[in-house]
Amino acid sequence: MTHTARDLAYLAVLGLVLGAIVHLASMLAVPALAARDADARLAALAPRHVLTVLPPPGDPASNGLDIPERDPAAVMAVCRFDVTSAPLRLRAAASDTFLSLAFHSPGKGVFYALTDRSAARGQIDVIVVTQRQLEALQAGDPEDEPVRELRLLAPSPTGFVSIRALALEPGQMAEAEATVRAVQCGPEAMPARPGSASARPG
Amino acid sequence: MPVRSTPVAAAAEVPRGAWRVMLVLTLGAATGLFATWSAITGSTGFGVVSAGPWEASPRTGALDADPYTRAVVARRGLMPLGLGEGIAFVARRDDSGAPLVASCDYRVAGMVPQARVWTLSAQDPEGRPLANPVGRHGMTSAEVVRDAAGAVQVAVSREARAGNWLPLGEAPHFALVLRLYDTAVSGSGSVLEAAALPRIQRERCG
Repeated sequence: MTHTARDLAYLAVLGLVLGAIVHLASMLAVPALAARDADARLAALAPRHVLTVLPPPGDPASNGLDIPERDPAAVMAVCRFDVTSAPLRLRAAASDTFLSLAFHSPGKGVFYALTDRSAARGQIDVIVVTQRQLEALQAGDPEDEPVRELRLLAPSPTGFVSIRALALEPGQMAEAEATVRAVQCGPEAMPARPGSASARPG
Repeated sequence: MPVRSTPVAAAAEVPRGAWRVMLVLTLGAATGLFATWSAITGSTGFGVVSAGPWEASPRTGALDADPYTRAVVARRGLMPLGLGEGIAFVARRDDSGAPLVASCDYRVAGMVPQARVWTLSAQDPEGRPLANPVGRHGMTSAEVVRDAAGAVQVAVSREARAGNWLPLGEAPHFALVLRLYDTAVSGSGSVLEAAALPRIQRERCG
């Protein structure tokens, strides 16, 4: 190998090593930089803590902001949340219609998902909390009663819940939509915690 | 002393000083960003479970997805099925490996894995439903007619067919999506048995 070729090969190897570093760094940055991820698309039509039924997939009204890869048999709703100041409470009743919930943390993924099959006595009762809120809830738990609600620790304070109901036959679309609309979601008032509330100035 | 090319000739060919730095930086930025771009514009590459022509990325529905899967989900604005909800299998090719084209007719035949509910739908390469005159974009386990053994046969074509028919639209290319809800299929391995999912056979091409 001539000196020239060796020198160029050395530069090429350096360049490729740098390329690998650039690749890894930019891959990790994509979720943070993606301006049109699901949460950003939903922000245009769904306010936080309000159950919002999404237009059917491919609907021109979504202005190209609809979520791709949706099941045409599913009626979908979302509830975007921010649990910084209060937990999110979500309640649904199991019926004959397939109903499922997925809890999304933008850039991280789905942190929990369940279907109506895991409903206890016909009810789904979920509360999404931060670590501090979870501790406050646990402090107030009665000791002789089991906790009936499902408590989910949010990996990030903001996120959204996707709610799917399936219309197994074309005539069941209205029923599926009614199932989705019957889901309640909203901020939950925390029980007053002695000490912490009064210690706050102002 | 080893024989070397003359210093004069080498100086003419190898970039010097700042040019060497520029060359390395340019090469690094170009290859690194190109690799990122091709990774996020392709399908979710890592953690893909395949069974014949069907592919699923079960980790898109969990918190421990790899950075490649997360990047694709974020860039495309996907709202994936959570692992506790079900799993979605996508086919962009038929059994022989040829891309699915809407000018051909296909037959999706075989058993569907155990699930409380499943749906089979067609979508365009961007993941939107295929516009078609009938306004039907998929079929479900409740609608489909099965044979005595429980196997299904679905005709996928632009023209109407008797029996189980999934209409295609004007878009030249399409993908099939099989979603299993409340299923034991977890896709935790890297390969599912191909026989567990229906075959996709090309028939007549128009």
